[in-house]
Amino acid sequence: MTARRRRDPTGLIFDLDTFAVHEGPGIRMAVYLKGCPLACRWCHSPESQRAAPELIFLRERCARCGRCVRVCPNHVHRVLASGHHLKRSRCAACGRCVAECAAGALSIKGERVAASTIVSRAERLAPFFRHSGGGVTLTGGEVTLQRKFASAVLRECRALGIHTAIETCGACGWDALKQLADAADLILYDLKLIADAEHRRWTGASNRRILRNAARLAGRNVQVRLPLIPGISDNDDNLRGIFQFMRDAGLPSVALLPYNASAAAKYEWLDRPYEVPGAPQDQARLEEIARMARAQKLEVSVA
Amino acid sequence: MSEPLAVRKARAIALKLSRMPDDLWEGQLFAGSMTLEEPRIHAEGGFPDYVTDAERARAAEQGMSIYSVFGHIVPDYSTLLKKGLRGIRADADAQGVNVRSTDETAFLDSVAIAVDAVMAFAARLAERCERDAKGKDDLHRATELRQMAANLKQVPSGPAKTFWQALQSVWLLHMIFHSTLNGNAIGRLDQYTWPLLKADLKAGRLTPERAAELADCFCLKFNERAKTTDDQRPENRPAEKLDLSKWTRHYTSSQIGTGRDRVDATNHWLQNILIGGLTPQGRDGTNPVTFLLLRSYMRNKMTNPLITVRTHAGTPAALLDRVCETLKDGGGMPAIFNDEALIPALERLGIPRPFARDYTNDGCWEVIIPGRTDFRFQRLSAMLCLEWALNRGQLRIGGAQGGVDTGDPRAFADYEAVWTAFRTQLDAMVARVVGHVAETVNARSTIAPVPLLSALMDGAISSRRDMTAGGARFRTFALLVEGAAHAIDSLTAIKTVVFEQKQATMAQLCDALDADFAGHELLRAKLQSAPKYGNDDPRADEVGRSMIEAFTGAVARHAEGHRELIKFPCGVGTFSWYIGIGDGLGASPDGRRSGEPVSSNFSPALGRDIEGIPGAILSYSGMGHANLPAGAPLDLRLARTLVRGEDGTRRMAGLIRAFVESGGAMMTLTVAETEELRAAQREPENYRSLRVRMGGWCAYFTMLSREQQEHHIRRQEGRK
Repeated sequence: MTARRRRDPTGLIFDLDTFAVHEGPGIRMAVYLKGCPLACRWCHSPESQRAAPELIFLRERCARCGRCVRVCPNHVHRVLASGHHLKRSRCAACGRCVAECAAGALSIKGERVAASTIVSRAERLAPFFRHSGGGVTLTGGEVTLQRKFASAVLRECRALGIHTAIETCGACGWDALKQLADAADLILYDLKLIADAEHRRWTGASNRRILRNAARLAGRNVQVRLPLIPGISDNDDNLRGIFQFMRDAGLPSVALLPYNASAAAKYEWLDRPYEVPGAPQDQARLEEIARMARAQKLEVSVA
Repeated sequence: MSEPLAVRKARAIALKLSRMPDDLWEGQLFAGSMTLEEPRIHAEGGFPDYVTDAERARAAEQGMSIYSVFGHIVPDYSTLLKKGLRGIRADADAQGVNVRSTDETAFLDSVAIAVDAVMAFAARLAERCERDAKGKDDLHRATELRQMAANLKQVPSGPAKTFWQALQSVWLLHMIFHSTLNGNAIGRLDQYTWPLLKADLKAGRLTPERAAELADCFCLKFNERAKTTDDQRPENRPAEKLDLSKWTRHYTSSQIGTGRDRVDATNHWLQNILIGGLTPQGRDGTNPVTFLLLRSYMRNKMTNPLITVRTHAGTPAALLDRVCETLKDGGGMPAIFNDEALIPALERLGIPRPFARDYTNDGCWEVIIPGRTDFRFQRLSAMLCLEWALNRGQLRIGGAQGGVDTGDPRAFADYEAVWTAFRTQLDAMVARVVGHVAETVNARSTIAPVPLLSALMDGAISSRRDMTAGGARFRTFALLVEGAAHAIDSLTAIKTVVFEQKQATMAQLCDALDADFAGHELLRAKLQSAPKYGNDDPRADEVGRSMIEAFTGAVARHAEGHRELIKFPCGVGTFSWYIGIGDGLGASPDGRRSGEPVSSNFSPALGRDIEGIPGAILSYSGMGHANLPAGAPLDLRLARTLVRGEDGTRRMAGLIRAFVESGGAMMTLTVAETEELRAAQREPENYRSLRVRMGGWCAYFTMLSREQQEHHIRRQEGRK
């Protein structure tokens, strides 16, 4: 059992997309790993952050039948006149309520899958990758938190001739990052805020290690990805700082990620508050930002 | 009425053509129009009656009339362009010495009369062009009109000498067929017109710009009948009650006819053109006309003619890129056919390789061999078979006994018992249809012979038989499975939820179906979350393969005895009738409620293909297409954001190449954003040109019923 486990590690994923277009070139299978060392306040997949399965509740679908209340061993659910309330701290994500929910309001995000399962999915999709210049991207969450699983998937995909990519926030030890970067044909590297205090404030962690790791990846096929969060990361000072850093570090390629306004819905599923202080960028502003990057001799694309 | 029926039919064609208006639209480059209406003489009406009361009564007993001409067929336009009608008539005349019966004499006479009538009509159009040219101050237009007159003196009576003449010849025959009750299709236009364009370009008779103009004007002609009147709009349609007397005949389809579905199909007239693909010799047939037609479609931005492109492993990248750009422009055009799947399937059906390689679609998407095939089809509902298996042969809607009594479904002890009952129903339905078709195979010739089409049908003149009496080289009757995805999902749900996981008994399932799931919501949720076709999930796909095998096996078995008479190619399809088809079906074990629409053609059930576009393609491609030579389209929608820009084009071309490699037969891709469709519902005025692919054709979105619009919106767009 243990021996088999080592050969075929499992990972915790919260989603898998077989026609992903924002995670590298061509048609890609994107695997979203669950668990992240950062807690960016704007994160568009808040369900990616916890490194454990969790209950998702689509409030508008709830028929208030109360079946979940009856089957839950931990008394998580309460259906009152005032609505359906969840005591999430008690939830073990056992899924019993999900099986009883006829309305489809409850589900679990976070599934344990074997690396071999992911690889055989990728193998089935290989013609789509081959003909479109696509491949597999491991993203998250944070891929380096599940390095054994990720490394197995990447190595085996590569052995099958499938193009591999990782997307990382860089908040990890160099060993883990290097191991995965060695097995990836493309590294999508997220940079958000250049000022450490700001970084701590909005993501809950320092960016020093992130920047150091980024610099060590110079010379590899790296694309820096820069989420343009209104009022947080999209100001000139921050952008100029990041572009300057990239130039100095020898990271020549950046993709601008305009703000995705649909993220708020997912916070509702998890009963978490969500707020972003500014307004999304318009086309003129995006072009202005692209010009700033080009001024630092960077290749720019807009996702 | 002493003359034979075939001769009377030919005279009716001649009479109608003699009264057809010869007016020209200002600026048009092709003569002959279906819509310059004189009140009683236009495309669809005013056909002279040519039958006796006795003939009429006899036909009525078999559910037929003078309108039982099937249409859909592709005439032999290649021969038309090479020989001209005079050459074809000479062939018919030469057969006079071989005549062995009065029927044969009547047939040859009918061909001569019909062909002469077409030539007379062309001569009249030529005179009209000349007359109009004389009165024109505009020299440029006068020259055009004189050239048109000259064209009409050469074609269709003689062989086409130029690209312009080729298009004029094909157009004229096309509009004549459509004006004489026979809605036929165009076939491989790029293959049979390219030699003429090539010669024009080489001789310097035509510039590429002028060729493009000709292609544009030719394509525009097909839209002369377009109707986009306000009464078609969903908000202006009266509420309609289901009329159970409108069940499709023979209880093989669950469709209940409605005005809604009929109006939705208003702008479909079977005007299909096919481009690209292998030549009979096995080379890639892509040529400049292939590109001209795609460009015309983009420039015209209309719903007609419909364009389908044949692809194979060696399809040039330039063509695929152009195909993707056209698809991105909207309308789900062109549809994508895969030579790698369809040619071997046709060969298995017994079509020799060079003919198989020359296949085309008919007036919709079904596969035929152009100019050589008498084709008809019928839909056989897998969902009705399942409904009967679970309801002792009775329809849930209306309660009639449609199938055989396969016993009490509550007593089915294992999945095998369910499967056996389903298979018994399917086998009985196939046997019934095949038997009926074989028995009545020549019936149309006794009421609706087709002398003009027979003149352009390989085999008819040489065998001195009308196409409807077996004159065509190939005679096929396609049997098309209807409701396939839901039948697969339903059988899979029974297999997994009832018998593997034992989450319910057969009795509970039957109770839930009887109650249309009222009070059985949890069971419904479990059935809905069972494995589904369209997700590359072997649990559902194996059931799907078995179902298709059971069907094609039953057809092969029952058709065996009629091999010399007629071929029965199998396929899967609903056309655009998926809403009416759902109207006639009760609740089903996949969780579908009574009356809910089914998915189109061989597409996954709406909202159930959650694994994305590649999953849908992989499931679909594994469904035994080697035995589905009639075809089985997979209809998909792609969100515009997924294929934006040059990267998007590359991605889309990759998707098509992967589709070809995976072995799927037919795919339609409509590029439209959900938000875009919602906006079109809110502000129809601003989206009048928004086109969507619908079954075998293309429609203006804002002219569709609410039910159709919702269907398009619910179709997966490939975006998480």
